[in-house]
Amino acid sequence: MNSDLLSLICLLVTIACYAIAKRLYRSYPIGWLSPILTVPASLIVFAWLAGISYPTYFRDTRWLVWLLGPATIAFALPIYRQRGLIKRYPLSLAAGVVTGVFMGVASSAFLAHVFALPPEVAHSMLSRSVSTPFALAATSAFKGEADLTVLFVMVTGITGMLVGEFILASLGVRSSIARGVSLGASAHGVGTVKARQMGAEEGAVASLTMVFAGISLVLLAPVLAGCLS
Amino acid sequence: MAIIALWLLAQQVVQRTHLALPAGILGLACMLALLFGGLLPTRYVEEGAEMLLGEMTLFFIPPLLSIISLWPLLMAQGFRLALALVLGCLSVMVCTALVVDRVFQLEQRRHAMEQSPNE
Repeated sequence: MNSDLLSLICLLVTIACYAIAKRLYRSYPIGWLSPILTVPASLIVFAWLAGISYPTYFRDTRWLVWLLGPATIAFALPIYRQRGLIKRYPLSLAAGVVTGVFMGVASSAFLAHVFALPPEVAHSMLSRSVSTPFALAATSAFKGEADLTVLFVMVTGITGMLVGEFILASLGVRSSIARGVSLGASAHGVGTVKARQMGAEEGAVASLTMVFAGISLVLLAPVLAGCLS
Repeated sequence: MAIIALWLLAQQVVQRTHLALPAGILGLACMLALLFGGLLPTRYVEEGAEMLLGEMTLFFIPPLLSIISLWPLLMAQGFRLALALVLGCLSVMVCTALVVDRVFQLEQRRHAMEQSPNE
C-alpha cells in the first residue's frame, strides 16, 4: 500500500482508538483501563500486525504531537483560576516545586549513573518528572531524545498513579497540600488525576505544582545541563 | 482558537529574535499577563484550553509508538531502566511530601498568628 495513505490511516486509527478507549474508561474507571495504557498498547499491536514502521506511523500523527505546544500555553488558565491557592500557600508550593525539580533531575542523574545506562537514555531521563509538553521543551537542553523522554515521562506518571496513595499513607502525610504537591511533582498529569480522586484541594494543588515544576525545569534546564556535564 | 494563534506568534517571535526562551513558556507568560491584566476574559479561552488540556493524552501517544523501533535498546536494559524510573519517581514523591508537610505546618502557624490579634 502507498505509504502516504498508510500514514493517514495511522492518524485516523489513533484518534478512533483514543475515542473508544476514553469512552471505555468512563464506563469502567479502573487503573489499568486508563487510555494512557490501553491506547499505546493496542496501537503497538496494530502497527506490529500491519507491519508499519515508526517513521510511517509518525509522519501524520506528528500533528497531534504539535498540539502539545499550544497545550503548554493553555496551562495559564488553571494557574489563573487557582490564584487564590497560590496566595494562601506560597511557601508550601514553592518548597514543593524546588524540591520536586531538584530531586527529579538529581535522582535521574544518580540512578542512571548507578545502573550504568547509556548516555542517550540517561540524558532523556533528566526531564522525566514534569508534564510532557514541558519535558519536551527541556529535554533538548539535556541532549535527550524526544521519543525516549515521552516514554520515560509516561512510565514515571503511571508509577506515581499506582503507588502514590499507598506511599503517602505509609509516610503519614495527611495535609491535602502536601499530598497534592507530592503527586504533582512526582507524577505530573497522571498524578494530578489521582490527586483529584483524593480530593478537590489535592487536585488543584497537584496541577499547580505540575505547571510550576514544568516551567521551572524548562527555564533551569540550560543551567542544570551545564552543572551535570 | 486564540491559544493556537498565540502559540504561532510566540514561535515566530522566538525564531526571529533568537530569544533563549522556549515558545511555550513565552506564550504562557503572555497569556498569564493578559488574564491577570484583565485584558482577556477567561470565557474567550476557556473552551480551547479545556480541550487542549483534557485531550492531552492523545497528543503524546504518537511518540510512545517509538517503542517499535526502540525495542532492542529497551529489551537490553529493560529491567535496569524500569528500576531507575520507579526509584526516581519514589524519591521525588517521598522528598516533596516530607518537605511540604513540614513547610505547610509552618505556614499554617503563621496564618494562625496573623489572625489571632483580630480575635
